[in-house]
Amino acid sequence: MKKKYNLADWLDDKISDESLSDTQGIDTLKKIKHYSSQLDKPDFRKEEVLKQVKEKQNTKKQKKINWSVAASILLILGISSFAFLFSVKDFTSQIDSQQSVLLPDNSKVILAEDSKFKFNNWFWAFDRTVKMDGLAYFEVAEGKTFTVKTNLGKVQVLGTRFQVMSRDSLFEVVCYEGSVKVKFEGDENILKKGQFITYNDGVKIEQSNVYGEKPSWVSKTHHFENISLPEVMQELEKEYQIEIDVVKVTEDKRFTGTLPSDNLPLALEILNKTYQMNYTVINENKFIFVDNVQP
Amino acid sequence: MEKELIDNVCEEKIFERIYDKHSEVINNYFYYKFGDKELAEESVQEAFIKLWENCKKIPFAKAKSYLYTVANNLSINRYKHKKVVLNYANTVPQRTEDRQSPDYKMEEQEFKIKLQKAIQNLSEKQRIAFLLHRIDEKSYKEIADILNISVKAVEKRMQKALESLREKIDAFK
Repeated sequence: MKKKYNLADWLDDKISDESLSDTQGIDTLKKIKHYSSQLDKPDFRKEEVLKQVKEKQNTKKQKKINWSVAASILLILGISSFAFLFSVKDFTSQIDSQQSVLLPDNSKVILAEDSKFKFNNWFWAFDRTVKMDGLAYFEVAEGKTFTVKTNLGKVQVLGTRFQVMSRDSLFEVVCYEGSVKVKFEGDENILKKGQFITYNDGVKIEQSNVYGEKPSWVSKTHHFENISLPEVMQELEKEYQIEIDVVKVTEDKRFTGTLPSDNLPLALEILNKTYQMNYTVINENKFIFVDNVQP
Repeated sequence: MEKELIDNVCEEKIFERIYDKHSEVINNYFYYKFGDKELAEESVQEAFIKLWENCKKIPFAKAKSYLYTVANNLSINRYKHKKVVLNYANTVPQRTEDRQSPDYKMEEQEFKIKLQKAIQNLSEKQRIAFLLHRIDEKSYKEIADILNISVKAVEKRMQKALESLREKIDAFK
C-alpha cells in the first residue's frame, strides 16, 4: 500500500531514483522530472492587478457612500417637503372684510380687504418668513429676523410695527415703530419710526410724515356674529382694558352686530339699546350691567 | 488583545500583505486552469475584490483559505479554456553543457516540446496539481490546501499526472 503512489513520492524527492529502477519508462520519467522543474512561471502583472483591485475598492467605497448620502438627502428632502407642503398656512381676506392672523410667536397680522397672506407653521421657529400680496399691517414680536416677501420687494425687521402694501406695481412700506429694512430691486433702505417709502413702477418716493399708531384703514370696529353676551363683554374688556360685570343680567342674550373699538360709551350704549339693559359706572374702569326693568 | 480587535483584512496594509503573499500563486493556479493570461488576472482581481468586500468577516488567518475557496468557485463558471503555454527558463544552468553534442541538444529540445504538449493534454485537475508542484514549488500539503482536497488525493493526482505524461511522451516517438 505504501508504494501505491510511489511516483508521487519520487517526484517529491521522498524516495530515490534507485527504488524505481524497475519501473517502466523510468528514463522518460526522469526527464519529465528534470525538465518540468525548468518551466517558467507564467507572467503576472502583480502591481498592475493590485492597482486595479484598489481602483475597484475605491469606486465601490465611493458608490456606497454616495448611495447612503443620496438616500439620506432624498429622505430629508422628502420629509421636509412633505412637512413644508402640509404646514403652509394660507389666508385670503375677502373683498369686503379684514382678517387678522395670529402667528405662532404671537406676532399679529391684519390683512386689509382683498389681500393674501401665507406662512409656514412648521418652520416658524427657524425661519420667520411670510409671503403676502395686497395690504397688511404687522405687529411683530421680538425675535429673529422677520421677513415679509412680496412680488415686488422684501421687508426685514426684528420686532416692530409696520405696514406693507404690494399691489400691481405699487410697493409701499410704512414704519410705525422701531426700524425696518426695505429691499426693492437691489435698492436697500432703512426706515425709522414715522417714515415710509413707496415705489411706484420702480420710481422711489420717500417721505417721513406718518403720525399715529396704526394705519387708518385698520378697522376701528369689532364685528360679532351670534356671540353670547358674556363673550362680547370679554372682548370689550380686552379692547378697552376695563372690567364689565354682567352677572345681574338674567336673560340669555346673543349679539350680532358691529361695535366700535375706539369709542367705549358708544359701544356700551349700543348694547343697552339692543337689549334693554342699564349699566352703572363704578369707576373709570368698571361697569355693571343690570336688566332694564320697565316701569 | 489589541491584535484581536483589528484582526480582519480591511486594514490596507494587511490586505496588501495578503496580496503580496498569495496573488501570484492564485494567478498561476488560474493560468494552469484556463491557459488564459488575461482571464487569470481578471480572476485574481475578482478574488481579491471579493476578499475586500467581505474583509470585516475574515480574520487574517482565514484569508488564504477564503481566497482559494473563492478561486475554486470562480472557475466553475469559466468554460473557455485555452491551451496552457509554458516556457522554459533560460536562466537554469544546463548541466554538462560543455560536453553536449548537437545531437544531444536537438534531442533535449524535442523532449521539451513533447513535455509542453503532454502538459497541455493533461486533465485540468492533474495539470494544476502537477504545475503547482513543479513550477510554484508547493508541497503536497500546500497543494491540498489550495485545492481543498486531501494530501492523499494530491498524491494520486501527481501519480496519475506522471503516468499520463510518460505515456504521452513515449507515444510521440
